[in-house]
Amino acid sequence: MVRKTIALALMSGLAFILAFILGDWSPMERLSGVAYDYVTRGAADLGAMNLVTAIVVTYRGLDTLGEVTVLFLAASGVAVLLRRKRDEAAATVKIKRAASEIVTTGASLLSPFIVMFGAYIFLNGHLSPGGGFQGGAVIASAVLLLFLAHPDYKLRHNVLNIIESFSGFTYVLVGLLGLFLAGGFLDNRFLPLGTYGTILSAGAIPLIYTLIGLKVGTELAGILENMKGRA
Amino acid sequence: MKLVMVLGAALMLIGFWGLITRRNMIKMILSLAIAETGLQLIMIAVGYINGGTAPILDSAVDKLSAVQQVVDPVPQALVLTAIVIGVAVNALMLTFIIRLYQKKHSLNISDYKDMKW
Amino acid sequence: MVNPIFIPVAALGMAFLLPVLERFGRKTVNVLFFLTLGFFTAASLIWLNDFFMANSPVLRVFTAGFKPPLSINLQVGSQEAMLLAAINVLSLAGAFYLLPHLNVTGLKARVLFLLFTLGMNGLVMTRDIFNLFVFLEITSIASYALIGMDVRLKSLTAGFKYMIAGSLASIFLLFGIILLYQASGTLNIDGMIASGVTLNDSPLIQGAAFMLFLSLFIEMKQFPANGWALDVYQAAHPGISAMISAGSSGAIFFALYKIFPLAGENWYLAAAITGSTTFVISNLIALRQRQVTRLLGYSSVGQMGLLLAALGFGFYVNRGRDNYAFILAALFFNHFFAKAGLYWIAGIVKKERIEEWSALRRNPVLLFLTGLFILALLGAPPFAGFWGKWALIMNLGREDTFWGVALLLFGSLLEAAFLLRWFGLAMRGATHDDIQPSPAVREIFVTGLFALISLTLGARFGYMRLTADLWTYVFPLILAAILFLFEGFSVYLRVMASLVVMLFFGFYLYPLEQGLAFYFSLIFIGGGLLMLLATLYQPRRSAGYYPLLVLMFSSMAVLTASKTQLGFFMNWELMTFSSYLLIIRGKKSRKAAWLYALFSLGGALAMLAGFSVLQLIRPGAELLADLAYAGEYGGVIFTLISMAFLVKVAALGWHIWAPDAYAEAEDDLTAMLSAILSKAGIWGLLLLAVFMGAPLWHSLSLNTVLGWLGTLTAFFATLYAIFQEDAKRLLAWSSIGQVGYIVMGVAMMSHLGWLAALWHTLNHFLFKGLLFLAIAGVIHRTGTRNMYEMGGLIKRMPFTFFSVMIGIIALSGVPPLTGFGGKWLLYEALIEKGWYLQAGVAFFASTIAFLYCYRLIHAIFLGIPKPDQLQVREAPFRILFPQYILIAFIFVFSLKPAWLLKPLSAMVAPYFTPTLGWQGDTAVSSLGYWNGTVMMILVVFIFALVLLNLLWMSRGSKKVKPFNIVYAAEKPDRPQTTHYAWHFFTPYQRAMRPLLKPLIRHFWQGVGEWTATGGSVLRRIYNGNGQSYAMLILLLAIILFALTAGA
Repeated sequence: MVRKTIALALMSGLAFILAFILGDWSPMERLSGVAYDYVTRGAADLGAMNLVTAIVVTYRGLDTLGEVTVLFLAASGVAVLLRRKRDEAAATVKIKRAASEIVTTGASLLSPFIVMFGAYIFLNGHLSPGGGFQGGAVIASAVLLLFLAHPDYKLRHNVLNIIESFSGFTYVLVGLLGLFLAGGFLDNRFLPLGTYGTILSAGAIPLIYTLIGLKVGTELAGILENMKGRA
Repeated sequence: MKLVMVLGAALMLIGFWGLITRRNMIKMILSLAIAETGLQLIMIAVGYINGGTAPILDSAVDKLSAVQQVVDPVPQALVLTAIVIGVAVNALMLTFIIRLYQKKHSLNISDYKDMKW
Repeated sequence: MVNPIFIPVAALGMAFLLPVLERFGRKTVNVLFFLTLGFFTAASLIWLNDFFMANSPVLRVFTAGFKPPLSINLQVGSQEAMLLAAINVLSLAGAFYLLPHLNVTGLKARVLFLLFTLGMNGLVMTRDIFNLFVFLEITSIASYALIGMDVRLKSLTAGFKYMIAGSLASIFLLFGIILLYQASGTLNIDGMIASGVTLNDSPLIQGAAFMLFLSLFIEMKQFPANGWALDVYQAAHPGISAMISAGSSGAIFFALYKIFPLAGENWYLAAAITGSTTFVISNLIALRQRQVTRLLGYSSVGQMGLLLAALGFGFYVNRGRDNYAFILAALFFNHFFAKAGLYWIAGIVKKERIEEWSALRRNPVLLFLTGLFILALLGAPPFAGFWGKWALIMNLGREDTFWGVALLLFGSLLEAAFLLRWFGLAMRGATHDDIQPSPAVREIFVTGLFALISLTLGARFGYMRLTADLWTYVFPLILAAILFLFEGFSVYLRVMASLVVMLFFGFYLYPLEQGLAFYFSLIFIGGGLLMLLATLYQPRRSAGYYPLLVLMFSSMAVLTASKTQLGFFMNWELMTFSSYLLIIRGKKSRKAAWLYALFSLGGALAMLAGFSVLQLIRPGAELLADLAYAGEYGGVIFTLISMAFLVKVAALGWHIWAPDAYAEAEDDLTAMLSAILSKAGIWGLLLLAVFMGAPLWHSLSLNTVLGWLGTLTAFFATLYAIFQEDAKRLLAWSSIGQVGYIVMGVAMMSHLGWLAALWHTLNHFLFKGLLFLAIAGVIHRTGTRNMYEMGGLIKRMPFTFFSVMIGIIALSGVPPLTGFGGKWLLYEALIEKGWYLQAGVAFFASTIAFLYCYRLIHAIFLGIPKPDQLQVREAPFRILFPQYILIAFIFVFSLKPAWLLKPLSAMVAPYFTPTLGWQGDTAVSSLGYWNGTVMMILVVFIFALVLLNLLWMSRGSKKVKPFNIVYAAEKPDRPQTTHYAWHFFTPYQRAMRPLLKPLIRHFWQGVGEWTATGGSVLRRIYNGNGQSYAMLILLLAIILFALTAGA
């Protein structure tokens, strides 16, 4: 009871603070500051139709590299924390109930399409809504579906590891190419910008988003597998 | 857009309320996720411009007059990062809970008070 | 120049690649891991060199080929280079230290560690606020995983609480960032600052600043939102705690420093208040903490509070002054290296509770390192924290911010209390088990490296602060360092080396001093030399004994040569810490030494406060002579500064430490403490009087107060001395009382008064040195300090008996020895001054002093020998020799007082008109005259008559042996109670009971208990529940809002 009262008091304090801060908030009327620059020159600079992608992959590319790092860190952290210690190896193996027919059939039917859809999303990140993270998450959802359908399903670790490492390392290398061949680290313009609006345009953006998509997909899949526990 | 803002703030408050009243650790994490979602709504609301459209300069948006037509792309880019980071932290937190549960077979936060003072 | 972008490139490239490289084996992975960390370190050291040696321009790197604000930029300037060098050296050393732990966990642990380092580097380098958030998340997530890595219940729990706090903090941070973005249209920190956006006081922008700083305050572990941090520090592997406490906290602090220009006035004050509150409260709570890693956690949190306070104060009071960056850097790096070092030691020792740290006793290297880091944390000279704290307190004084001075100094004292208690237990606690810490070479190497860095940094910062007379002020430290080279050789060689360096120092000082300063440095150095000789009587001496002795004596001598306040304070602290480290060498002196250190530090901090008040009236004053301009603040300054001196002379009220410390210190050290160290306080009081005269507190003359303090000290200490059973304790009380007379003399502020004080200063040095050395010889032979366990030693130790006899004659002030001269001058002065009441009390006190003098010589040397002491031999020559030198001086000055009095008179003449005249060798005052030579002849003649008479009368008496005494048919169960010396003066004791109540001891005990109780009440908020910690974070939000929204 005391706890609830304190919680209530705290919440009313916070509500007051939020009301105070946001009380006279109103949306912006027109673009200003750095956003104005992005919108006016983004397409010409980088050749990407999707300005959000231009910002995410190039202008603020370091953030995105950091974001990939965060995900990678989390995946590594999950793996470290859920690693099996020697004394736990002998723990009894729980037998999991098999999934129903509908789920298994649906999973095998859908997962190739899901993966394909994911690849579509990250390949078109510079043209339409979407990108590497979204695509990667979609791919990982295919893996999740497989896990649901086949609780004993084992991912091939080596392959996953190599894809993950390769895509991450190549991402860094692509960034370096930007530094050496173009204006700076993660500059996408060391590849030709191509024809505006086509799939092979916007310099290295599709390449980077592909790498990110692969990396995110494999990392999320790794997290899922670790959390699933080993049968 | 004011509505989205208010909604975001309300979600944040709901999240905080859950965080300090739910004893179940998984519910606490869900509460944090709710608060984060609220914040993400606020971020999107900040980037909105009345009558604007998505900042994708395709055939629907004229490149030259784009400045008058699109919403601010920056908060959207930031939200993307924020979401990914949120996912990462949540995954790690759930992992901690899995391990904690294995140690003590309890999800109640008040059962983990071995260290204090 | 290395391009800063290569740091993230190298870190990420390696981190992404490592999982594939695993198949090439652990060795390959480790080599690559350390190569990467080594690259970071090398790069940042190159930057450090470029910026400090070559004055290179600031490095700015734009990513993506666009200029900010379009792109994210990194920046490395001189400040960043310093931070990066520290962080990367820590990471390299920390990884080396953690190697086995990382090996056990596997490959991924190295990935986590690498990215953790990257996160800290990024926090320091980035100039984009959202990128700052990303790097903060990288750092945090990596540290969550590193904490939980060992999958123990405790570390998992702590990690989980940390994650809740971290998530809340990042929600607030993002909130702030997005609002600031809307207001300023940029994410670039420099752009935001330049736009001046936060100067606007619309709720939206103030709210943005609120969210931003709230988040960083949480990350800085501010009270009360820091329960999680304490759990983390307690539970994590100490190697990880070191990384978090020093590294990531440091990087976060730098991030805050970077965006702090965005803050408005209200936030300066909020940071100062929050920080100093955190500093005080965490140190207060730590008083009750027994768990080492948690104790260090409280200390870490406290230090973060100190840093935040310094940052806030820096902007609040100090805008436009350039030395606040100096203060922050000094405090920051001091904490950085010392705390990492202490955590590493905690990991080596592996003892949870501070009581178990006595295991450290047999490992001198670890003990030395522990002591060194603790001294660094306490801000002892020459460590960086000392210079930082001094400059900070002076700044606060200049800007009239004394609440800050009070909070910070109080917090420092609390910090000293628990850190020194811990150190005391490590040094002198009872041993519980025989499991010794067995450090690996690797662990000692990194810890030693950090000790070295701490010292080097201290020297570097000190070099920037000590502008004048640098060599004089640091000479004691150099001497001590030289003597350290002789440790491990025989005692003879060590003493010889000590004598040589002290003599050398004496010759260095000689041309610098005259008058009073010369007189006192003669006592400090000359007395020191004599006492060093006396230490030879013990065949073995613990490591560090001689360097510390020489440090103590020479820093006292520097006190007499100091011209600047800083130089004086520095050497005052050196003297305090060296004497503390000496006292704690006594077998049972743990508590006594602790008390000594606390009182001394309390006094020293009061002195610091006094100097800071002076800054208010005379900004920028550096010289001691500036004290003369104190004006209306004279009373306050005099009172504060004199605290330090009153502690050292053990004046009534500040004397609690003295009897225990004197009694429990090693026997020859006690002689030095009483004979020499207490005179440092006298010198300080004289110095104050010279510069400040007799200031008033409102209408009350402080000299009258000081005079009464001296009188009452003399009276009560003498009273206590009578009832002691322990010879050293008796002499200790006597010493306190005698110094009380000197204080009276100083307080009189007259020619005669000062003559009396100066005369008695030397006299007390002579006879108290003599008595303590003589007693040291007796204890050496009999093995006891209790007088009732001795008796009849006159036959076995005649030379010592003679020493004691001369000593007590000189002490009691009867003719013909020097003591008489002192008393004569004192009473003359008192009467001349009109202090009749004081004269009466003093006279009464010196009369009852006969009682303990008599007891001392009677109980030990006269009467019947104890059966087990029949074979006792005379004290060793090596301790008798210095005694007879002292006796020679006593005789010379007794016979020819003019040889001393005339120069003394000349020394005092510049300050007061002489009222003592001379007719040949006869001193003449308005009230009488004194001729030492004539008096000596007279007394010797009378003495000879009495002696002859005695011999004549006792010619037929029978010699008695102890065996002739039998107990009357019954054997007492406590044989000592039948000794005549047991409770010798009990009747007097009964009569005086009301006066003997230890009221002052009770008072200080009460203070101690109340403080500890305060701590244990406050710490209840850390109830261990992660949810409560989340509530406390929200509470901090509301408090901060209330603090800042008013503006």
